[in-house]
Amino acid sequence: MAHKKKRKHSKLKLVTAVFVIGAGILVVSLTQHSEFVQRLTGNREDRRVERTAVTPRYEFASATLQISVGEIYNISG
Amino acid sequence: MLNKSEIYMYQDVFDPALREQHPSKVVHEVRHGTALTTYTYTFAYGDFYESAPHLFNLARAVDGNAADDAKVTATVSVDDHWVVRYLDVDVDHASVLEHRAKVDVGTKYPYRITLDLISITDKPAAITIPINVVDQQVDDSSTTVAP
Repeated sequence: MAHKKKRKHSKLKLVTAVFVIGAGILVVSLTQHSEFVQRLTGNREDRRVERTAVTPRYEFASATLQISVGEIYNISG
Repeated sequence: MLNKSEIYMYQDVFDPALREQHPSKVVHEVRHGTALTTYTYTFAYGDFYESAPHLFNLARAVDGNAADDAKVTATVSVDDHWVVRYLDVDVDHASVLEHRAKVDVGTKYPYRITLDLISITDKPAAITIPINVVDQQVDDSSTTVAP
């Protein structure tokens, strides 16, 4: 009995692989701001801010700072 | 006495969560002789922490003092050096009165915190010593050394 030659579907596999990779890239790019994807790609927003922080602390010799706190209370009930 | 941590920089206030928020107003203004950019944000009190965690921590004194639907107005001014020149967190005082003050009579509840950096300089102030004081010290030493 002759074996039926198995079709390899190589083109179909290639198209499927390309589609899956493309869909993956699309999903990651659309959800890149989510925490999960940021953890997945290692490009978390807080780390990115640390890396791009270009605001060195201002070295000051003297400063005048006025701090006020507004409080409310009910004395009569 | 002031220390380094009491002069806030941009990154001390603007965390990633606040950067995602849209300011209700952005104004360029001059305050105490310095050009500033002032950002105003408005939150519901219940969303304050999630919207601006750094700012919430700086104004932690108002924590728990208002209802979730109370209005919080935050104003932050930064200068060209990214120094925070003005910071104001204002919780609706009517809500603080209803939510806490009327319940706990006689206890003060903060509803507003304002930080106004009036001046700052990177040059130390010159110290001058009166000449007569120096002369007096010289005279004293000469009298003690002399036999």
